[in-house]
Amino acid sequence: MKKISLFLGLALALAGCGWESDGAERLAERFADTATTTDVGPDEVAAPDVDLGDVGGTGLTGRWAVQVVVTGTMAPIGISWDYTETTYFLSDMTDGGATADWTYCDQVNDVPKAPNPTAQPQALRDLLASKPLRVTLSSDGLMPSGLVWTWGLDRARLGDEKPQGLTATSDAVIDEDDDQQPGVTLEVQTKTGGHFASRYLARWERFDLQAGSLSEDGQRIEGVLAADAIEFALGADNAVVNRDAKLAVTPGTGHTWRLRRVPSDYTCDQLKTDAAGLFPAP
Amino acid sequence: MIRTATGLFFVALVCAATPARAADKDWLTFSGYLQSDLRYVIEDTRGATPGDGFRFEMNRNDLDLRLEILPNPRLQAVVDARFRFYGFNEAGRLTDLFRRAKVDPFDVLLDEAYVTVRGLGWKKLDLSVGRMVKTWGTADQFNPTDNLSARDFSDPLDYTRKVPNQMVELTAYPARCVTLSATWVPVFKPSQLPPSAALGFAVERTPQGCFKSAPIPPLAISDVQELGTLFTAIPACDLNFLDPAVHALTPPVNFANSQVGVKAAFQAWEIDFSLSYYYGRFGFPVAYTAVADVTSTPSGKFDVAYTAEVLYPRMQVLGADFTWPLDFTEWFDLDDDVSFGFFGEAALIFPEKVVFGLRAIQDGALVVEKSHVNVQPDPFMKATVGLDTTLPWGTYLNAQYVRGFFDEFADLYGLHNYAVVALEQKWLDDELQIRVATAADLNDYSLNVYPQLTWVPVPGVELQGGTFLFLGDTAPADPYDYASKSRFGQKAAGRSVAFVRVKGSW
Repeated sequence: MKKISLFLGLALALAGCGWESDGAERLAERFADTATTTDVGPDEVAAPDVDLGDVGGTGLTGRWAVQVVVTGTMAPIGISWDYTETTYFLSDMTDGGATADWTYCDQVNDVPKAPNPTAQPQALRDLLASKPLRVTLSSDGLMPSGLVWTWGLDRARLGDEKPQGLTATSDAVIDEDDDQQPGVTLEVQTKTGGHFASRYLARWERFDLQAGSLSEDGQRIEGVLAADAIEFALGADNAVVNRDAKLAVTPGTGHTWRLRRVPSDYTCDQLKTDAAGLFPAP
Repeated sequence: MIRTATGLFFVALVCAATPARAADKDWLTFSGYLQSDLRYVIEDTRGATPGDGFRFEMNRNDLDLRLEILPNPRLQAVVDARFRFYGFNEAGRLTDLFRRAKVDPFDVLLDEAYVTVRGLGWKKLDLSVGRMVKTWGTADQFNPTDNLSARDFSDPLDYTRKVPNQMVELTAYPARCVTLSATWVPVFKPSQLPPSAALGFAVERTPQGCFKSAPIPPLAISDVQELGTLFTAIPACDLNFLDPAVHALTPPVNFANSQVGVKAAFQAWEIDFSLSYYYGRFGFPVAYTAVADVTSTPSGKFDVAYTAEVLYPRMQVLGADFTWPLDFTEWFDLDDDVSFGFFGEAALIFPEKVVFGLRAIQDGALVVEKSHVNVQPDPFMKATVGLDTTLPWGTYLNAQYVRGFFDEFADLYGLHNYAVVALEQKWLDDELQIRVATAADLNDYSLNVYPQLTWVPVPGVELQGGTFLFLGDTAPADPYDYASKSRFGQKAAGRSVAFVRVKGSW
């Protein structure tokens, strides 16, 4: 019995060697200079509020800077990447206050894990700016539902439903940026910002804005929205990027829209410069 | 130059032996064998690419020379060396044709070279120093307590071989029925693997050369599935998946990485048993890291460079074994040539914790990072129990239950259970023998079968023919589950072959 106890005692002592080889740690040391997967996006950088001076106006009249933030995932190479799409518009009242036109100014796509960032060619920017989103206002405030925004698609042929299975030869797909390629063209960049490839795509996006709240000073309105989106890969000049982005917008109303009153002569260029200050991180 | 010197050494060895035999000196024993092996792959489904098979796999000649020298009762020296000629031309360039070693490649293997001094300071103490092969345990080949000498599995049909190593051993005989030994192996040497082992890391391709599948890493199934989507999203023919480069991490050559074994063997009544302890490393590699480096090319395709690292985990082993020959002859009035023996062996292994890490990088950016504990630091048991019996009509049976194959560790693949059976039948005063051996994996139901016919036309000469077959699924049951690989079915296990062999011993 003593021998058994001795044997077991020895066994227990042996178990405490604490040897360990950690392959994950080894790789972390080996690739210490590899780009990390975490990123500090522009929304996380504190920016001072922008002093726009005395911006007059009451109610919803006048010009507003608009920020719409939608989150979701994409998986162009199979791995799911989180993305945050922040779009900026300038809003002007039309029809005596019954509607507003949102003119596209800029879009920032933050996909921290994507190896290649994307950029919008000027032709695409011009195209999007040339077709403002017509927002119909309800009597009790800004609450448009079913606000559909398309890139490279013929709205008249689409109908109201979310499109599915579109290809480069579908009737609803048009060469909207007039570059002899289907849909619109998005540029994929190298890590240093150079041109890597061009993707041809069509996109359908829908915003369902919930009622917002007007700040006491009448300068800001904020609310949440539900969103949906689908993107169709129509081709590329490099097979590496010729793949479906597999967008999946986060379900629910976790997305945000924000309006900031701006002077009537405020421009998109100013908005792009002031964006972080106009819409500071919550 | 080295080979020339070794060749001269062999000549000297033979010359030294020849007069010794002539003079019949009892202080010198010369033995050895000549063996020719010819093997043919009898399938074309287990190779690196579909259709690879129905070809010669081996055309080998071995010359083994063993010399034992006993110049006085207290000194023994042993030298055992082999010339191995592979029989396949390796001259791929014109300049290679100038060299015999390329046209007719060979190796020189020094299996043993050691000196034993008996009665060193005490008449019951022996010291052995040199290049040795040690075998512990009482089971038949499947000895979980046997870790001092690494295995040599370079020839799948000869799984008894070991990799020799330099060691120092003290053996004491304090009583007639007690043997104590302590062995120190300064430098760790790993086991030698069969050529088919590389297929365990191979990339599978379609007959058109397009990517089909990559080796399964030891990760959680959900992680492997996620990793799989990285490649399945890309057209298979756009993936230029290079053959993985696998690096085995050799431990630093220092005292901490030496191996030490101590053993106490006892005999009581008819039972032999022993207790043992081993400090060192597991002789077979365990997956440690992997990196898939994906690079986009201007042609629109992806180059994928997959590099992996394996290591030899540290471990301590507490072992126990016994063998118990039972004499039933009087009980059942059997002939004297009937015998039964039971044996058992168990090893309690205390392993090093090994965490497997994997990264996928695309165009320099980290896109996937995964890790999983491949070897838990918890003690685990490998064991073998069995019996062997010789029956009066020339039949021999050996049957074993094995928990944990040679190369199995408590990693994510885990320990399997095996039934290992060998049945021999001899006729004509042992001149003719049929032997069928099989090892069956009781977890995944794969097996290998090794039937052979041996004819001994004159004493010392064996003519053999037979097959060595692997039966089981070559593809894993679950393409995302590291543990679902079939033990004997997976391609890394080896090729099914037919063979003829001639061996002359003296």
